[in-house]
Amino acid sequence: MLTTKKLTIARGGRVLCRDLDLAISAGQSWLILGENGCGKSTLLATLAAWLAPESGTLHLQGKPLADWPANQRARRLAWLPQGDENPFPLSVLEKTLTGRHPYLGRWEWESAADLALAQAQLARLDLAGLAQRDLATLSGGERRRVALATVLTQQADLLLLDEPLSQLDLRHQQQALTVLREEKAAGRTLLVVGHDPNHAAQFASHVLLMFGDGRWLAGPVDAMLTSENLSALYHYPVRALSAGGSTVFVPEAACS
Amino acid sequence: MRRIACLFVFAALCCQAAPTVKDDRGQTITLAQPARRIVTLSPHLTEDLYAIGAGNLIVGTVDYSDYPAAANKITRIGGYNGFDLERIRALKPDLILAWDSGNPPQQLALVAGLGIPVFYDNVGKMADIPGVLERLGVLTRHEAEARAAAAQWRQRMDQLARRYAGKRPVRVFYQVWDRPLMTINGQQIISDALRLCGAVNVFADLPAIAPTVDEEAVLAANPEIIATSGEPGMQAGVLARWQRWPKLAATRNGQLVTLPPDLLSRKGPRFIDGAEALCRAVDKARQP
Amino acid sequence: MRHRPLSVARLLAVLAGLLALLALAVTASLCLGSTPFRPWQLWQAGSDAELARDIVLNLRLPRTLAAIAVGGLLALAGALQQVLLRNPLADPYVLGTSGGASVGALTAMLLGGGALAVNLGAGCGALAVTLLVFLLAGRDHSASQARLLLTGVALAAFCGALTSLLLSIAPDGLLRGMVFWLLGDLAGARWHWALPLLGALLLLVWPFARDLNLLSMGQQPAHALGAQTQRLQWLLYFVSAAATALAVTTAGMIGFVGLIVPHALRLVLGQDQRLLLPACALTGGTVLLAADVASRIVLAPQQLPVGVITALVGVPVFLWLLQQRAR
Repeated sequence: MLTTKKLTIARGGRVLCRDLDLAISAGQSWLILGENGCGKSTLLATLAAWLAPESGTLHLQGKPLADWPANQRARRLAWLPQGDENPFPLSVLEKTLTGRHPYLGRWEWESAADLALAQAQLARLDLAGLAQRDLATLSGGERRRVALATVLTQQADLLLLDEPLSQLDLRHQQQALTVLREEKAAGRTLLVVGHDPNHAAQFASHVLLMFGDGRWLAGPVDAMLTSENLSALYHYPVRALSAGGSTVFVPEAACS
Repeated sequence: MRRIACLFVFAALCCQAAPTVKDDRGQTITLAQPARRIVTLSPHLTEDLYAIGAGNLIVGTVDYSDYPAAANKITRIGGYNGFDLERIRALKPDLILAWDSGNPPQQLALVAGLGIPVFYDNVGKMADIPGVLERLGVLTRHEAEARAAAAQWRQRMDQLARRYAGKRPVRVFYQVWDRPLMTINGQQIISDALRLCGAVNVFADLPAIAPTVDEEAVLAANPEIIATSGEPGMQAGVLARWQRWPKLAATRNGQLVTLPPDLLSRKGPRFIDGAEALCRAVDKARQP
Repeated sequence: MRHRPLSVARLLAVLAGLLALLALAVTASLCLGSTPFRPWQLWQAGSDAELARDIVLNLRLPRTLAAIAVGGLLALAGALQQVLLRNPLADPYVLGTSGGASVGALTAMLLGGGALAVNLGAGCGALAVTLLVFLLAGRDHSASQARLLLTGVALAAFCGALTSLLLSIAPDGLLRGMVFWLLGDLAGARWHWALPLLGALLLLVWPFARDLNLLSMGQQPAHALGAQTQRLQWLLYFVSAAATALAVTTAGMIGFVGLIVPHALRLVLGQDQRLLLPACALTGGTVLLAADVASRIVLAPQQLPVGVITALVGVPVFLWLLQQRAR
């Protein structure tokens, strides 16, 4: 699905990730972890063809990423960036419908099926009642869910999600995680940037750890998520607790 | 007796040495002695002084003071709507002639602050012009020449009035400016000249002194003459736009007239020349 | 205010409504003026019919068409500029195009040029500043709107200073014409270029309207959805600059139409550019035409500057709309 070879990304003269070799095959789901500023969002933007890498190659479904025509790429790869300030009035449903853009020809109009699809995605994220509301009147968490619904409406094979769970309350986080599991079950490939290693258990098959100084570690969840790795990643002691057959990672101070 | 005679002589000398007039603001101006160094703040005031033989007294004036030719040599102190107070002061004038309705009031307030006598000219009607000449004659002690010039002026006005009194009224559109299309109403001084010529200003009744009008209104008024004066900065052929309307009486009869520049736009001694030129043009349009 | 997703039916219905409003304004413009002539007098016999023909067909009609073209161009330019800068308060004059036009036009006047030279000067000035902004801001491939905005605003300020300089050194006789040009004037405006080009520019951007919807949500979301953001931005920039230049060249600097019409329509119709762009083109024309009719008849036969009317009437209506939305 997505492969990187010797991919190096840098921001402001600082190398964030050196010689990244990833081979993400269809159906895998990755959780990307790392400290603030370690380059998670920059990596995602690079994978979305928004930023150019310093060096290395990037292939989407066997073809160099830059060679994909924009709308063809958008049918295969969806990207949820972090910020989405909208200065203009726009309803929730209108915003969600924009996810159909890559499928519409220049003179085509959104069909009833497109509308139904957008409404279904809103319903999955508990937004059906807000469909007519202006985005400006929503809370930050609600706007975040609308952005996720838009990405889902895009129906791409590969989803690059930059902190989709931030600003969401506990119930809506669980609901969003359920949606991610459903997408995975439907055969989609996920790359999710997050801050909670425990979310990995809920949907991820693989984990990418980014240390922010060029070093990285990638592999299956069980091999990567150890208290040693996480302690090194966050420069803070992390302890693994076993509870009811599953492992939970907690920071040291919290249990002392 | 001799003493009394001496007093008389002294009084006569003293009064002659202290010329007194009222300006157009109604204030009395008394000079200790006749003005010898004058600054004029408008081209027409320069012309006024030359007309009474006092042109050589001008030490400073504004841009466009270009008549008579000798006036071009006078030191410039700026434009009529913005002048340099420092230079005015440095010229050490003993009289300043200001144009009350033309110079900016804030600037005039500053000029007044210099402490130099200021004569405010505010000519509103054609008949006011000879009066200004006479009063300037008093201030510069050129009374005789001034009286003669004023008398001749009044005589020429009377002649125009007599010559055209009984003639058929002609409808005139006087174009002040091309874009925007501006004209004058009945209170403007050019309308005085039009009345002398036996002409009717088609926009005499508009409330503004210099209103902007639209072409449509001119077409509907159907003037028999369209007249304008050349002005500095105005392009040639400003009347050419009327050629588009061959049914307009003025166009049909070839009565699109450009009068010599500056005559009717300056409220000075040559205004009468402009009025005579205007009357000739109007009279030509009267001929069938 | 709630916005349902735009359907084709709603698009056509709204545009038909706006077209009807425009037709109403055109009728008013042809019927009203400083003289009481009416279009139906064209078919009556007599000498009045000829005068009526001159007035209605040769004076009111060209002016009407010019008002439609200039208003439409300004509103279209404003709408595009607002998307380009992602700022609902952007207006067509913010990026310096019109400043360049002013400097060009005033220079032509100062050199004693006629109407043709003035238009040419305005066109060249607008073109020069547009290209300069492009050269200075376009080298940055991150295509940040902030850089574009700052470059444009800086050049606009520079042109403003040049304009003041030209006005202060101009002889008094020319000053009146220069200030009048800056206020905007439809009396001598020619529609022959402006109106067809308004149509052409609208047809050029309308196919990209859905892409513009994406762009107004931000560059990254737009990119993610397959929009070619950089190309779109330059399309927006050049189309809005061309529309502004054309409007300013045709009728001078008429204010407020380019800011208020797109903004007000967005409050009422929503943000979908597929509707907003043609609606702006139509309504801009209607609004400017209505203002022009008012400027001709309020003190008839005296004329008022049309820019004064657009501001005097436009601003209160706009503020009222904002209040409505706040509720």
